Amino acid sequence: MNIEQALNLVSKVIVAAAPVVTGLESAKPFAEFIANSLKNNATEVTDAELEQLLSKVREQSERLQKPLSPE
Amino acid sequence: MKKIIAIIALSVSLAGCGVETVMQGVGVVVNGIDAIGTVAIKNPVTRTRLAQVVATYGGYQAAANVYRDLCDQKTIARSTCAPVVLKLQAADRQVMIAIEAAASFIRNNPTLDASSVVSVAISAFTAFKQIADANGVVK
Repeated sequence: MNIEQALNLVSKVIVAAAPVVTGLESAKPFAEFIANSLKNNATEVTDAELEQLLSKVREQSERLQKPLSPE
Repeated sequence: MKKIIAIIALSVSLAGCGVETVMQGVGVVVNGIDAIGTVAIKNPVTRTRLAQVVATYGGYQAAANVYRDLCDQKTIARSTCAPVVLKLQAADRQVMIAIEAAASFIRNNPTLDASSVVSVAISAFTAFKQIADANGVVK
């Protein structure tokens, strides 16, 4: 197995694993982007694609910034 | 290559339940995104580079949110996790500022070299990653 085949295999595993790992469904679009980026040899992404990723990290940031519930 | 093989092995061995397994599962996904993202970055095109950084950061953020939720539910002892969540929140604010600044620069100056603003985003992300890695947010 060469490095490219190994990476392709891992990218499939990661994309498949993201939704089944408890609470990690939100990682799937990022895993898919990275896997596609590899498949397409990192061809130029569009502003719209970048904006989609940005809106997802903004959502996740909002969730992360919520204070913990009182003890 | 070793890291990739380790990820395959860990993915195959994922079974059972409990915090440790959840955090290991998180590690499989996030480290995989990180490993592949690093290899995929061959093209110096700045918008693409920033998108790869954002996507890799998104994987880490997802892991941080799993950790935050486990902390909120007190599945992890508050005395252990609350200080880590505060550090992650502070680091996330810095990463978001840097990412938004880089994206804005690229939008407004499509023909200019954005390497320096993308580097700032990478540095902020690296600081977040170090907190996550050092505190078992990603195993």
